[in-house]
This record gives sequence, C-alpha cells and structure tokens, in this order.
Amino acid sequence: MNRTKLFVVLGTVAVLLCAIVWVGSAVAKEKTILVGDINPLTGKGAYWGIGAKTALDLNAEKINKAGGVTVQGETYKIKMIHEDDKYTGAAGVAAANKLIFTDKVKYLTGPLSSASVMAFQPITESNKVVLICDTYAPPELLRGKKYTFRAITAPVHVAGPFYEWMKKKYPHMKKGAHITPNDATGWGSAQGDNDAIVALGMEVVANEYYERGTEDFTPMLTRILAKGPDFFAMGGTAPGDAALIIKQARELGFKGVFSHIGMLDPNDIGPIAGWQNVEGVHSTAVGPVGPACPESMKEFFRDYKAKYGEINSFAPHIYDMLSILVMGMKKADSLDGDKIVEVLEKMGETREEFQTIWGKAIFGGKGLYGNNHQCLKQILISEIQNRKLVTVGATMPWEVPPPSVKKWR
Amino acid sequence: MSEQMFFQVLVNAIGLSLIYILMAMGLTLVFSIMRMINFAHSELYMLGGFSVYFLFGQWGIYYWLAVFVGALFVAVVGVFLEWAIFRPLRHDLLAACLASLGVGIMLQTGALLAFGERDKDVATVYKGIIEVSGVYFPLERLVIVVASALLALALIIFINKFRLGQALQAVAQNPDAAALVGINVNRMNGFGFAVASGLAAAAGGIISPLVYVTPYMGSTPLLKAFIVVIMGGLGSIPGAVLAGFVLGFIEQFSLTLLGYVGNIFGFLIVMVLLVFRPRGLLGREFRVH
Repeated sequence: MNRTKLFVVLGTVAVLLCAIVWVGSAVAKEKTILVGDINPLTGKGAYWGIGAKTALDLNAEKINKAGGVTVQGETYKIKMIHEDDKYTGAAGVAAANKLIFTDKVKYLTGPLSSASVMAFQPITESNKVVLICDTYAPPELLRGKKYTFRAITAPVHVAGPFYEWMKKKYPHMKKGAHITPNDATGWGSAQGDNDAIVALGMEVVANEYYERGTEDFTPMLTRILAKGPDFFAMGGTAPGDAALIIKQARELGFKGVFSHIGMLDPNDIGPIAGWQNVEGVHSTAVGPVGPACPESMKEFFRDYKAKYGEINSFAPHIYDMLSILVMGMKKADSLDGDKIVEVLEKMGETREEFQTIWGKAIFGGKGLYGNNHQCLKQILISEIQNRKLVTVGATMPWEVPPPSVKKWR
Repeated sequence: MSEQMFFQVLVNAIGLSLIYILMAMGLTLVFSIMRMINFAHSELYMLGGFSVYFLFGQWGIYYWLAVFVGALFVAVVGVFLEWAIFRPLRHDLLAACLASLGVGIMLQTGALLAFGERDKDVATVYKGIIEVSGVYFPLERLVIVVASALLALALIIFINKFRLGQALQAVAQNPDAAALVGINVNRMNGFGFAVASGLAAAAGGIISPLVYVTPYMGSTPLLKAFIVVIMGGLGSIPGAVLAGFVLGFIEQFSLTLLGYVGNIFGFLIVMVLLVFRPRGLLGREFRVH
C-alpha cells in the first residue's frame, strides 16, 4: 500500500473512532440514569442473586419501553449495572466501591446478603447514595440511616400475620420448632418467627441453628423431634437446605406441618425432598395461580416467563425495588438523593398507599427503626398442592412486631 | 437421652461415618502415593454427583451403572490431571498443592457455567423407611452404608492382595526402590490418582440421591475428609477408616446433644491429637522424596 493510501485509511479509521466515541458519550451523558445493583451472582446465593438481576432488568426494560423516567422535563432511560458480592461482606464492599467511585452511581439496589450490606452501608450513607435493599438484616440496617430503604418486607413484620393465618387454618398447631442457618439472616428470622409464635399463644419447643453447607440434618432433627413439635418454621433456609430438612424429618417419622417465611419453589424442593413430602408446605413464596393471587402478580409472571422462560422464585420479591426508586424520583421530580429520600419519608408519615406487584403497600416501621424506611406490602401465602404453588391467602404485615420475649440467638 | 433416641443417634452415626470414610479414602490414597494434598478432590466428588445426575437422572441409565460409568469418567479425568499438571510438579509439593487448588476452582466454575447455579436433584432410588421400636432408618441410607462399606473393603483388599495394589504400596513406601525393582513409578502415580478420583466420584454419585447436586457440593465433605485423613494419619487407609468412625460418632452425638456447637468437636479432637500424636491414629512417619 503506498503512503497516500495508508494516510487515507488511517485518517478514515481515526475519524470513525472519534465519531463513535462522540455519539456514545453523547448518548450516555444525555439520557441515562445509572442504577447499581449488588447481589450474589456466583457462589451459594447465586440462584437468588440471578433472580434479583433478572427481575430488575425486566423492570428496567419495562420502564424504558414505557418512555423512561421523566424528571424536570427531561426523559431518562434506566441502565442497570450489576455487580457480584458473592454473598460476602468483602466482595460487597468491593462492588460498592466500584459502582460508586468508578461508575459514579447515585442509586443502589440490593443486596440480599446481610453481611454484604452491613459491610458497605457506611460507604453508601456517607456518599449519600440512595440504597433500596432486599435483605433480611436486623433492624440496625435502617435505624439512624438516612439513605437506606428496605423493599422486601422483613420477617419481623411478616411472621406475626403469617402464623396468625396458619393458626386459623391449623388450630392443632401448638408446638413449633425453628431451624435456620447460623448467620445474621438466620438469627433475624429466628427472632422474628419465634417472637410471633409465642405472641400467638404457641410454644417454641426447639430453636436450632445449622452451618450453611450442612447436608446431614439428622442429629439436629433427632434432637428436635424428641421434643414433639407439631410444625417446623424454617425461615432463612435456602431451598436446597429446606428440601433436605423436610426429607430427613419425614424419614425420621415427622408428620406435621412445614412452614417457611421466604421463597420455596416446589420445583426446587419437590424433587430433592420427594413430592409426597412437600405437599402442604406453606410459605410466603408466590405462584401465578390461586384464589388470592393479584392480577399484578399474574402479569409479572407472564412477563417474566415471556422474557426468561423459567421462573426464578426470588424474582417477584425484588421486582418492586426499582419501581420504588423510580416512584421516588417522579414524586420528587428530581434525581437528587436527598429529595427522593424526603419524598419517600413523607409517604411514610402520611401513610400514602402505593401499588406493587404484591398489591398495596405503605412505608412504615417507625416504632422499630425510628424511621419509615421499611416497605410494608401485602403478604401472599402459598401452599404446595399437587406439585404446584397455589396462592391461598393474603394478609397485611404487622408494622409493629410482637414484643421479644427473649433473645433467641 | 432416651433409649430410643440413643439408638437413633447410633444408627445415624454409623451411616455418617461410612460416608466420611468413602470421601476420605481417595484423598488419603493420593497422599500416600504422591505426598500431595489434592484440594481438587471435592470437585472430583462433585463431578461424580453430576455424572449420576445426567446418566441416571436425565438419561435413565440404571443407577449403579451410572455410578460406575461416572467413576470411570472421572478416573480418566484424574489420569489427565496427574499427567498434565501434577506430574511436572512432583518435585515441588507446595506448587502441586497450589495447582490442585487452582484445578478445583476451575472445575467448580466450569460446572457453574455449564450446569447453572440451581440445586439439582437425583431421585431417591431406594424408597422406604425401616422402623424398629421408634428408631427410623431410611432404606436409602442403608444402601449407602452397605455400598460405602463394600467399597472400603474392596480398596483394602486390592491394596493388600493384588499385584497392582502392592505395587502402589511399594511406590508409596519408597518410589526409588520401587523403580529399582522394575515398577513404573509414573504409571503407578497415574493409576493411583485414577483410583482416587474414581473413589471420589463414586462417593459423589452414591451420596447424590441423599442430598442435592450443585457445583459447590464438595466443599463441606472435603473439609470433613481432611479431618478424617489427618486424624487417621496421612496416607493410612486403615487410619482413615478408624478416624471416619471416630469423627462420625463424635459428631452425631455432640450435634444431637449440644446442637450446632457440636460442630467444633471434630476440629478440637484433631488439634489435640496432633499435639500429642502428630502422625495421627495409625499414620506413619514419612520422608519427602
């Protein structure tokens, strides 16, 4: 190639590259709201993390298709940036640092892991990053925190109404046994569940913790079953663990009821535990069928299945996180974190209802957290019937959980 | 503790012990021959579990054939790993151990990418529960106990009564002397690693209907296997068998009586044992060649 031709070619490539960068930066600068998301995408919590990611992506796509977010006359598209915290504090901090200082996000969703959020929350609070989280972490998560909101209804608010509903359905339920992982998620679940069970006049005959990764629950179950429980409460247990507990408890002769505040997809637990063993398991998981399933939830399932094929049972619990953030932006007519926080807090003070895919919701929790940063949305109760998750009941969470009778940890 | 509870725990302990022994045998065999701690052992166990998941669970192959074919497949993988990665590092044990850690991470991540993160089930083959005076023993666990015991016995007989097994012992005792009498040390290392890998995979396949199959399923069993191997004595198969029973019984009773706090007893015992008897229960002193 002669020199003139070479200069022409190189010059053309250089112009094209500049054009691409200019157009790209123009697009990026102009109309995008960056929302960071931190959840476990690998490791033991990956199933939940991927459920969270897919739910948020689905919601972002829906918002963008509907025209995006209009604030002060400008229309923005939502762009999610997902980072993996591997369900650990260290990786959560690394993810938060990257999102806040490199990607320059002002809003975060996630994480699922209590260890992760407790580790990076000082960074989000000090940098005024609005965090809409989905963790079952203890009340310290919200107490005294200006920029943190919890979209998932914590077990302490759910346990009371859930077990009240269960007790009406099963009047013979008098003695419960709680089994849960030995970490912050499990401790939180145990405290909430057991306080509710006692407040409703039932007895907690056993409260056991296991290390995540345990596969043989027979020693623990042998110990528990000697105390004669009528039902098991398994809040905080992962689906695989719950399946093994159900299977091994049935093998040891237990014939009572299993309950779980969380997501238990029959397709996750049925094959492992044995389908006959999971009939009648009650949980706050939700399926697209059943007399109590709202139309908004059915629509979510239709959209999710159309996009991804297979339903991830954690996804419905996360979907509303982005909706809440966008609602705050629109109501505040601002992208400023302080204004968004102010508007969401005002909604809590005035008890303003808003809609989620679960039905109606409010912000509340002042009695427990000192602020109204806890989203309290309708609880749906499901039962596994003929290998399907059937939504059989609905109730509202208790804003003030029952008093603690003891520290269950 | 009531009598019924005592017998239930006893029955649970026997089952658990044999599962630990099955997992530990391969690990101790690799150490005895190659003086190497194979951190990828848990992933070979995991591959055995996935093999049965696909062969039996998805394609309907007879269960025991699936376990055998899975073990054979993973044994071949083991031969490759020994030849490609561990043999060149034979004279640097630290590097070999670190390499095994890397192999383990790669296999685990590969399984996560290939098979996904969702827990997978292997259907229970032997359904039913035997109940005697309020003591329950699931048939599935009984089969695992019998299979584990037979495999352990088969390995011990093979090592002691067959020429190939005796050749493995010779290499384990003194590779130079073994070479002098005409034993191909490289071939024996490969064969030993294959047997160990096959045992790990067999353990994963046999246990898979009891638990669920995931890329992470080997992590906890590997930890227990290490305790058993160290407690029994590095490189001692009879030691691994004895230690498996000791750990299984202590864990079952302590977990039943004390709850999750009982988890520490296995580690406590290993620590105390190593202080007073560093070679383990039946281990021997070894020289690094």
